[in-house]
Amino acid sequence: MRRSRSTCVLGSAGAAPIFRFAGIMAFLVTWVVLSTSGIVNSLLLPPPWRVLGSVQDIGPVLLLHTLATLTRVLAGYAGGLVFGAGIGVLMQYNRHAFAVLDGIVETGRPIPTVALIPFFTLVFGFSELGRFWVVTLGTALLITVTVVEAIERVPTAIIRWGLVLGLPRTQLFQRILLPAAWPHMRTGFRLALALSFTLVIVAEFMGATYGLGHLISVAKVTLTTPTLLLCIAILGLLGWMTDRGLRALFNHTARWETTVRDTVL
Amino acid sequence: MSIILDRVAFAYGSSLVLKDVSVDIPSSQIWALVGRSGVGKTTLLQMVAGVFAPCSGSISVDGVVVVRPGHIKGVVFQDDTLLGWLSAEQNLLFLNGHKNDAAARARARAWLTDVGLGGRGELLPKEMSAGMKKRLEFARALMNDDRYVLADEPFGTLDALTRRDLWRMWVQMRRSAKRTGIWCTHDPEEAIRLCDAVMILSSSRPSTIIKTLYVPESLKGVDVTHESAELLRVRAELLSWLAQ
Repeated sequence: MRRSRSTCVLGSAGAAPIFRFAGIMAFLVTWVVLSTSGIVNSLLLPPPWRVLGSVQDIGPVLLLHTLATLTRVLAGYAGGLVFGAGIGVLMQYNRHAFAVLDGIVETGRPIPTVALIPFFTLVFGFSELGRFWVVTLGTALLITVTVVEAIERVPTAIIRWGLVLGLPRTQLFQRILLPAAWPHMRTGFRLALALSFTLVIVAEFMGATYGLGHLISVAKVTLTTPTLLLCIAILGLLGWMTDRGLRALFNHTARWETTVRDTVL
Repeated sequence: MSIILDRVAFAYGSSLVLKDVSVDIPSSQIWALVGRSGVGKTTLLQMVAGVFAPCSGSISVDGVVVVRPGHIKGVVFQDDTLLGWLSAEQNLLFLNGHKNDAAARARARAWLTDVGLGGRGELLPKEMSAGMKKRLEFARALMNDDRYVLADEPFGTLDALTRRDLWRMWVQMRRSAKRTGIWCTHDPEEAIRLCDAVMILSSSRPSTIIKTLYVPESLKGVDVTHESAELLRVRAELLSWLAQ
């Protein structure tokens, strides 16, 4: 059955599927034209098929590099979620905790985590633990702010209703505040996921023996641009897939929330 | 089962909002609280619920002085307080926590039927109209508390016909279960039709109760569409007190 037509205000309301491929096709066509017409040196910008062909040059070990990067991203992000959400909830749960932690979080947040990587290398050496902490720390700060703000967005009326029932604070958080705040965490969680990719790659530039970041830094030295671009493409694909997963999770668990799409679409 | 306010005063910061409010609501009666917007109706209700503490005077429910919330669980606020992630039935069962056995679920379904939402237990709040949500909020308040009810302009945002349907629902429910409570409204007709007495808050600041009008027996239990000279007379008297 066809959906009845109504006024679409937002772009995210969706369009015909053909538009989904139009953007990527235009990109590929531009790439092919630029790389084959001689406008750009093909050593610097090889055509798409040469980039794909480098999968064979690298061999099965490419899978190992990809998995190493993905594992680091997911582990670091998970760490960031645990610490960030923990600190965020604690800050809203206890006013003294908020006062103490707010200063630390807000001083730490403007510092680019990338700047800490040399320090972490000194402390942890070239071990996995150092890379894990870089990603965890960087994402945790973003997630803390997300969780703190999301809890603040919960309507006062609902909190007051919970108070009237005489719910203790722990239950008020578990059963009312956290479920009500959950949909508001979406944006911050997605941004933190993207950030964890950035941090893993930068961390891999410095002394990892496996991973796409390591592959990229080697390819740069040996001027193997197809490999370099292939790694970038894989990163894009991984980022897209993980973000899709996260969005699906939120679409499923937060579908109770009335969004503009429900009312205007 | 009575609600007693003894010389209650309340201030937001240094500005005194309510003073010298003394009321004695007898058991099984619901009294309306009327007054202009902003005089402190909601504040008074929140104090009875235990969310705010009076700065002087005392409030007691069932002979016990109110010091914290939790003693009156049957509340319906003006704003929507349904939990959006729970279905209609789960909203009714929220207070039970994990003790939701078959008996509790049957009770919830019976309440849903009573408020005209029979068979709609699976709906999420966002799938319901404003009128349906109010019905559900009433069912939840009545299920959570079988002795007291506090309502804060529950029908303020509804259209006239829906409001009348809900008045009828409420009158029918009161017949089956007697409750003690306070009903805030700015609609004089609603106050007269649904309550046993009407407390009028003055428009001055600080505000206090200037008059309590008792609703004549002849107006109680009649259909909500029934018009009479008596109703008009009480309504005119109420309005003249409100205008003071």
